[in-house]
Amino acid sequence: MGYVLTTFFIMGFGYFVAESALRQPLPAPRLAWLGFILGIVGTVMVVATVLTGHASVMFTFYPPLTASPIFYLGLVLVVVGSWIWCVLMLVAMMRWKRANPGQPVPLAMYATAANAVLWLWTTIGVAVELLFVVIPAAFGWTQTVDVGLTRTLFSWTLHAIVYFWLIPAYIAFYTIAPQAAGGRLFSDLMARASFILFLLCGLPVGLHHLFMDPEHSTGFKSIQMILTVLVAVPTLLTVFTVTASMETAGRLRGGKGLFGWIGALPWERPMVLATGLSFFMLWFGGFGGLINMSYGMNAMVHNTSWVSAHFHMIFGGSVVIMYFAIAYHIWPSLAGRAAPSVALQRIQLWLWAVGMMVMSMPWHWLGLNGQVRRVAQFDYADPSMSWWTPWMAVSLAGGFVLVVSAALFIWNLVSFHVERSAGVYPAPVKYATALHPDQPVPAALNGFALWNVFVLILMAAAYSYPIAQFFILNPPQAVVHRVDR
Amino acid sequence: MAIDPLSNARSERRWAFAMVGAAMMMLFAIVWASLSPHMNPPSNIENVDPNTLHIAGEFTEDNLGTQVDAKGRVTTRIVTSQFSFAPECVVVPQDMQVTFRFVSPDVIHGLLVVGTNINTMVVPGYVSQVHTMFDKPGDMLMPCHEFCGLGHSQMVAHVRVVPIADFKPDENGRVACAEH
Amino acid sequence: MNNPADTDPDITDPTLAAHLDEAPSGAFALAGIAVALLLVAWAIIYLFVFLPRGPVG
Repeated sequence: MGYVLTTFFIMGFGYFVAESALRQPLPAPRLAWLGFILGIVGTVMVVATVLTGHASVMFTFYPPLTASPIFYLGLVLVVVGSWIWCVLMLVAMMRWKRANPGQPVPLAMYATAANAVLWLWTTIGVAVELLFVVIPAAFGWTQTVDVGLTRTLFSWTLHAIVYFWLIPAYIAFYTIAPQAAGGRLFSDLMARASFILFLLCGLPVGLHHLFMDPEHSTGFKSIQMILTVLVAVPTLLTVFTVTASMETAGRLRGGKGLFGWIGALPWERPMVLATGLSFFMLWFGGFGGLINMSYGMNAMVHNTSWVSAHFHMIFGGSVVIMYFAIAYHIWPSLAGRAAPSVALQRIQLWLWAVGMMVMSMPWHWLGLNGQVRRVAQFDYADPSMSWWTPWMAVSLAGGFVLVVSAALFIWNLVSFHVERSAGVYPAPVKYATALHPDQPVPAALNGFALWNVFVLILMAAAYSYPIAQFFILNPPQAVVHRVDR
Repeated sequence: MAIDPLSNARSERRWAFAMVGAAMMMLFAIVWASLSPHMNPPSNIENVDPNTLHIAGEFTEDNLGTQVDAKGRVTTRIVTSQFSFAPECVVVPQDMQVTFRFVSPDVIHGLLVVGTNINTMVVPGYVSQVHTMFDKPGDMLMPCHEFCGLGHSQMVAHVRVVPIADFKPDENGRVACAEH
Repeated sequence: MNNPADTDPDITDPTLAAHLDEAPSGAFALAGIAVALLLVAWAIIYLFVFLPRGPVG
């Protein structure tokens, strides 16, 4: 789910942005379709092996557990499909820059290209892990696995991947929500700086997923902990800049005083509502994340339901609700007609936020009290676990609300195409204008060459020895454990 | 009248300083905890061969569980494997420094002790070592917290903390749950 | 840069100037409260859960 929903959504939204923000046709649409088909074929391979019980290793693999090679090859196809997307995004941006020399790239496209660059860097870790260690083991060519090495390579991917998922939501915060609310983007430069900070700080921090691991020293864990503290900064900047943008909208609509602008916002518009709900859940998700990243404090919550709660709040909540809102926002121009019912869209968004809160809040508390995650069932007869039962029931109720919301989301999109009464042909999607549209954009914030050099330096500092140690110390290997036969 | 194009940059700079300051405060608290009361993630890079650890050395069956050495140091050795802990119950003394040492002969496991800061991954090829001190007596749950296969949910152990007066090692320095 | 087609013709510079004399005080207040509460919540966990659970390492 984490790989498939996100990858397909991000590819689709990226293609949409490349055409609508740049106002030029997508380069090589056939290649884009090839990427899409690779993704579909890969997904079918993954789902088939998982559902037939040949790949019970979860999406983090956990070698030396080893699944059917078809499972890993399917994932490789999905990733290769997304690489095609990355290249097309960068080509689209470069073509536009050549046609408009000296002009800043529209923010939505700049951020999408930043995400493509981030994703290319991010996938290196998992690609090396799969191609050189896991897939040879899955085919039976090798009989042992260096577990520390595979965990470290996966950690390279593991954190930046969530920023890959998150950035489309931030693109909507910065470039769509202020426009939808009837205001202006408070600052185009701060938005660019935030996306660059995600690119820089999102990558060299993966070891924070391995704080509790025995194969890394406190030294490198601390370095990556400090970099992780820094990655909180772009989100904190975004909170202010987007709030200030919404404030311009509220004030233009007549809101007065310190908080009067909040009530003046057009909350009946799904994009505005989703942004508000997303920020609300971002607070809880960010809170959970701050505890997770706090080094020693990670020991309280590592691998507990707390982590599941954090992840569901920030990804399932803040990010996915923006995916919904983006879909509602761009569907009229894709389907060529206005939404049949905006009220149903609002209901769906509310159900999603309420369901996600009800489901995830108990997990924070249970996780802090030692409920571990990724467990099929608990022994509720054990007195130390029996008090979890009512909280789990609450959580389950939240889950049902989410199912209803997800079904309603699908209906809301289908209804664009089935209800003949749908209204007038809608105007094309617009992107937010900056408060000061003529502010010059420095060349550094209009390309990625400089930042790629910095990423390289940071990754070398953060990961060179943590990876090299496995070749220097040559730790004992573990025997492959097959789960597919 | 046009609005001052620099005013938004100024407010954002103020906000950015405040946010970096907030992040630094947290960083300071974390670093203090790791240096002063020594609250660090377990990180000893110590190798052990997962394929032979049950045959010879520290983690053979006789050596598992809690043991007090000649200098009075308390060490608890546990092997985590699909899908059980060996032993499934260990005894440790209250208010004394205890060292836990975990190994895995097969796949990745992990564990935590409910209500404490004890939490570590157990990665085949490595000894995971955690030092701690318990300040309350009682039976505490120690579940496996990393997916290790289809029997993962059944993998649970207990840590029994007893007052020092009740902590009585036998002639080999060993203490087991059966006697407590 | 803004594509001219994206710019809303109703929002002119004088309109902005007339409405935004108080901005971004509201954003400072709202985001400031949110972040302050975040730090307080973090400190509560740090002081009342993390430190009492004792040293490890």
